[in-house]
Amino acid sequence: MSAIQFVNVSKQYPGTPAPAVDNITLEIPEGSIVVLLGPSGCGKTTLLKMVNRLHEPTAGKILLNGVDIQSIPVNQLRRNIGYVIQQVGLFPHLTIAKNIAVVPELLGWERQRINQRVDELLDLIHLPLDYRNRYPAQLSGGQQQRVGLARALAADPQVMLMDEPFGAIDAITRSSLQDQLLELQRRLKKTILFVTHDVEEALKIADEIIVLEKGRLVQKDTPCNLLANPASDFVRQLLNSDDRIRQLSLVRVETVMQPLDPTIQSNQLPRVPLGTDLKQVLSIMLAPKADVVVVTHDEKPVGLITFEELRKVGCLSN
Amino acid sequence: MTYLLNNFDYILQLTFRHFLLAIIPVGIAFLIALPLGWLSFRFPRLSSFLIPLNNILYTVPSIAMMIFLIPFLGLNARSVMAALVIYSQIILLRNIIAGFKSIDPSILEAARGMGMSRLQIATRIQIPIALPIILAGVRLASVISVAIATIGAKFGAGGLGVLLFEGIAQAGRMDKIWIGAIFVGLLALFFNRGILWIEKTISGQWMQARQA
Repeated sequence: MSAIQFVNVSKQYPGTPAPAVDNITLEIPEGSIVVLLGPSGCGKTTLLKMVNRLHEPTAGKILLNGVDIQSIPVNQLRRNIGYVIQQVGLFPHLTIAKNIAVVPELLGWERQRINQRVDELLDLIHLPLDYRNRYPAQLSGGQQQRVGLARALAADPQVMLMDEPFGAIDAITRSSLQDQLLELQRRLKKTILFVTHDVEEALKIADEIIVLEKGRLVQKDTPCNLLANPASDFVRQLLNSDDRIRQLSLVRVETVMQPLDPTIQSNQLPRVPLGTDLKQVLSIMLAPKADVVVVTHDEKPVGLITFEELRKVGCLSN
Repeated sequence: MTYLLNNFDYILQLTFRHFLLAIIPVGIAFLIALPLGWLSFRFPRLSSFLIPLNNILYTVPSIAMMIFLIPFLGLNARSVMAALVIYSQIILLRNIIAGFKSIDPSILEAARGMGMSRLQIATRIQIPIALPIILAGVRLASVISVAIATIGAKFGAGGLGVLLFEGIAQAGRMDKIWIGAIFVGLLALFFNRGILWIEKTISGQWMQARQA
């Protein structure tokens, strides 16, 4: 079942010649991360903000779990949707615990339940419990955005809207936040609508990517298919689809590895664990005497990868 | 000094009267300026009308303002206090708008996106965050109010101004002028320190966190 449905949604801002969002019909499946990708001005943020009615469409309608969002009181709608923005927007005069507790308090939870939930969430985002009484200004940018994420998750909403949440964060921290988001998602199975203009980020976290250009939906596909079959030159250029190394980064060793060959002495060879992507394998193979890489599971060899496998894969062969 | 000792009760009475004369208008002005400030922040068109109007009012000398109000409110404390309400309101409104404007728009967007009502955003987010700047305005308005209230004695409002005007009228009564001036100064200092203390107590923790 789809958690969010856009039905012929358009949005034109007053005094502008062209619509920011132009007749989009789209279904966001439950429990998946769907990324809205495109250059600035493509309408991705507008589309996102129509879901929690920070913007209202000028035509069409949006359904949340099959219910027209116009029929839900606006603040009730928003309290049931997690919202994370690039600038984080933590409340500077409230402690971390109070920040996380905002929506549960709006929903009238009991104090004890709120406290328990705050502890759970701090644990979930790997922040020590004594951060409860700190103020946002005392945290690093990455920590602040983790609190922003915890705050959005506080009342356990099924749907999360994330508007370039990691856009203002340095590259190393960003990558680690993306990993944490994926790790959280494996456990929580939220429906996440995620806006970004960062192609690497989209490819890394998305179950499905929606490419937008000038308010129109130009392609909706999995990261791999998008690279393999770009629908237009715009998509090809945006994703740099011909970049085979980029394609390798989307494939994991387990999908291409060969059975162990008893004739090969594997203890001298480089090893990688299951789950490693082929871009990393390629990088290892570029070193001398590393034509074969051993894949391991719990330190035990389970398969082999040769350069031949790398050459055959890529999304192009899908 | 002998004047102070011989008339201590009287001077305290005048000081208390002066205190009320100064603080009540600031209180009334605050109740007017807070909603006006909030509205001006929400509707910039209103502020582009109110701010110039306030600036014009601010250029009117305090004596002229009181004289202007006497035909309407009478030769008494009411005219003086009304003038003080107008002056205080000008300072407060400016600071309240500045306080609201100092808030990062993303904070308000987050609050809205999380499902807070306008009233909840005002009372839980905007006013608390703007409070240090708002209280700085209250402090300034109080000190100015203490100063201007002195003139009120001329219009039958009482207060420490009585001593000053008597001192001027009666030759050789420098002692009255000194006592009057010193007590006005002390009162102003008291307001300044007192409100500064409130500012620190209310917003101390998170402001310190911000500076650290």
